[in-house]
Amino acid sequence: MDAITTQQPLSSEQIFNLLKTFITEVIGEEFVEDLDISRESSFTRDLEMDSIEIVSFSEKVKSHFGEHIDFTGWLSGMDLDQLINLKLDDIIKYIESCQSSK
Amino acid sequence: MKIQEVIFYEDMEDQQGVFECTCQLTDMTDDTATADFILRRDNRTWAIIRGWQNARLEIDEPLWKVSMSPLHNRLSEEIAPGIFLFRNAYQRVVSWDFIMKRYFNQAEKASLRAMLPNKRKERIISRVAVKDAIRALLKQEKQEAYYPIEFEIRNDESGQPFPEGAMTQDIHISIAHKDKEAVGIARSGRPAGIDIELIAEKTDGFIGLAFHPEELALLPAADHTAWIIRCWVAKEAYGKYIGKGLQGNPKKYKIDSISGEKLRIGDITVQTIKHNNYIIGWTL
Repeated sequence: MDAITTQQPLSSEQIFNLLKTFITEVIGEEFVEDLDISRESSFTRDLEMDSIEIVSFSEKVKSHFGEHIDFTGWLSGMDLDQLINLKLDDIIKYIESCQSSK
Repeated sequence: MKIQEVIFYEDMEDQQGVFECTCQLTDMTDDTATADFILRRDNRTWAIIRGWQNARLEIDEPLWKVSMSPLHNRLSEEIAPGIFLFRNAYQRVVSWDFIMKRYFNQAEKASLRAMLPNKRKERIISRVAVKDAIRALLKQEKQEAYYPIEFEIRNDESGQPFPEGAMTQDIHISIAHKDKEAVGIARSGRPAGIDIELIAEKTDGFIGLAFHPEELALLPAADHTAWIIRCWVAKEAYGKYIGKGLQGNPKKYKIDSISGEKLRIGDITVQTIKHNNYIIGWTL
């Protein structure tokens, strides 16, 4: 049995903190120190993450939440301007919606 | 620049003839160089200048050539035909000011000055690389030499850069940067896509997200880490070529075949090269 399915849904705050940990792992602690990561932070503009870093981040989201969350599928449905403006909060809401529909 | 004193031994206004100038460095720090000068004419001392102090630039060969003749020289290095690389290799503010003055017009300088220093340097290096790519293209195709300040690099609403100037109509560009390196490409009449990525090991999870099993089956046995990055760079360059980027899903574009260092996606070929610790790839 997949351990993920027995997991309690995470609160919005817990998801936020988890995503912050993933970002730190991807772009490195020394860069995160200079950033004020908030729910309103956008991946490309504020966090200055490039595609390869965003995919590394996606992988962490995927391996944590399992196949229930089709993160890359969700991203690929977006237009370029939506992707550029993608904020942490959008992902938190997406994960919450996946958790509640499970 | 500062001068401590100038002593004239002959008429200051009389400057006819050939002068012999001897220069002796008296002091050099990281920031300044100071020297004394003796100017002689017909074996007689005409003047002595003491304590001439200049701010030191980090002048390397490209900076020197561009300062002497900006029309016919460039700061970037042409690492493959039509592919220009420029790096953030200068420490001093004066060097960056110098580059800004030689490469950017008033509007570009104003927008650069509004940026935070790190962001500004990142912006400068990629714009220098692509301006040099455009200048080289114009020289090659039209036999015309242009100063970098004669045209502008602007960005459209989605952030895509494009050149703006009477001579750059119909020229397509692409730029990419990673860490302190930036690359640029310019093409006339058709789009171009370029990417640069650091060669670094990727997890199996990452590889699974970015590539189809059929793509991985194409890879040569040796040098797996670099080949994964080549494949990534090819997709990124292709995404830029079609003007859409990776759209968050690198699996959307599929590498159909690999021949030597060339990777084919649909009917587009991406040339890749290894340059130091990086893979650079561009659409042919």
